[in-house]
Amino acid sequence: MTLRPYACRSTALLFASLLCACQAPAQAAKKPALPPVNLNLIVLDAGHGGDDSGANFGDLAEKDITIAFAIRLRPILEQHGFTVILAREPDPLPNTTEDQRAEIANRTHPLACLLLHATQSGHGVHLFTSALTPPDSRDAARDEGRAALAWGQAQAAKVPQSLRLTADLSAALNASSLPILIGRASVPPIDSLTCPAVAIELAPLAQAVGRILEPGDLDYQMQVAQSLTTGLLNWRGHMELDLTHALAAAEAAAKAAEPAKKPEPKPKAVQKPVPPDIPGDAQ
Amino acid sequence: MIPRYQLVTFRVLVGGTLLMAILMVRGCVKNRERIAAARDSSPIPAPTDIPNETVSVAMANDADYSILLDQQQMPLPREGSMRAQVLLQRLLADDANSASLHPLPAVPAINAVYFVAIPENAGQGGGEMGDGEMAVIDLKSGFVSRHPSSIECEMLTLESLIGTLHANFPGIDQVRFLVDGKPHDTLAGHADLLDVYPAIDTARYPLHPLSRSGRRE
Repeated sequence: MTLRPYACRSTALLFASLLCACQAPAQAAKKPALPPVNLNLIVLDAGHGGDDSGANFGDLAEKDITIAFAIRLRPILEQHGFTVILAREPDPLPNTTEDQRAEIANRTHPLACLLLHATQSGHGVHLFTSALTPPDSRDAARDEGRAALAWGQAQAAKVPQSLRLTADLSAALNASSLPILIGRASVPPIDSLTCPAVAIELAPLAQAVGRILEPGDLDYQMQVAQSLTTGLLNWRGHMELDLTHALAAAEAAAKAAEPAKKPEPKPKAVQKPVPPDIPGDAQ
Repeated sequence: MIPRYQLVTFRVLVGGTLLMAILMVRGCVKNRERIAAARDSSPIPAPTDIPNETVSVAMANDADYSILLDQQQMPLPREGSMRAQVLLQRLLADDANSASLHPLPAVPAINAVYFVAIPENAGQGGGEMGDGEMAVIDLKSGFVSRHPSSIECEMLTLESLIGTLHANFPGIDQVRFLVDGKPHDTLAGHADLLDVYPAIDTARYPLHPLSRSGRRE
């Protein structure tokens, strides 16, 4: 088995970031630790499931459409070198709660977490980022040493990254001529995720010939899946670049700190005061 | 050849049918007249002359997922919570129009709106009342069950209600929702109704529920 070049590079960056984060405490205190991220991992959370059917689409329920979409999206992502985790398995397997799905994503540090939904209202693909306000730099500095995050506000620090992820996904969807709608909404469990996260809602797609593709349509789902894959590939490129820059900055900071770590030259030994010659002592 | 007794029977049956039809029509007419006579059209409440006033209404638009503050003229009662109830009912009734940019089911939506003081140290066992006020919007289950299930549509409904309250009742700090007087998990599968929301200008800021530690554990 041969590793693909991007897989090698991503793995190297991952280990480098982990290594950087696990350095000696003295060094870690002086330079910011890079957050661990698995650049090849995508978590797909197919919305609803179990007793929660979501919206009704005639004979189909929203939970069936979202899991079908996740299952169709997974092999396409895997063809491009991603590892995919489904936060929810198809019914009738035991259903996972929203908190459990967030926990799955938070434990694995994925490149992105996509929350999949479907609706009968609206048009095209809807992309929602958490409505949490990202902390400003002062708050971030103050909270840097805190070990715990509020469960319902864990996404706040990742909102800037989630917005960039949304931009990459929307650019890819636009390139495929798919109509999109972008907004902010705190749909559970997006606020509890500590990775870049976007809720993707498939709405009916009206075509020029008058035909309307429903969210459960195979062609429609495949078209969206291809676009999302392109967007995620772009997002991985951006993250690799960010990590490379962060590593370079951390190394520069470490080098700059090295001279300061050298032991200061010892002050010259203070000469003992020479006792004054007392004429009488020599005798 | 038809026997005579069958002809007689046939004529008797036709005659009976016609007679019953005449009796039924006559009964319906009489009944209608009786109901119309029993209807009391005299005014029960004293007529009030409430002037129209200008209010701000947060109108939702599904096409671009936006909230726009609009000025409208409408008569409103003076009492605070009743005023809020009438205002929000009018807002959702406008959304039920077929030409609405945020189409909602044309059913009664709100049972009542209550204004309550926010206890100080809420969530930590504090019992004293603080300065802030919370609006509790009690939705009808019929409205909730017919509401379109969509992240976009559900969030816009909440933003529209909260934005309208914020624009017209500046003393309101927080908003929470009930359905038929009881807590309910989501509006139609997506928008959280268990959390408390801040009363903010939803036309400018994204709406996010206030954190409630321990609820999800």
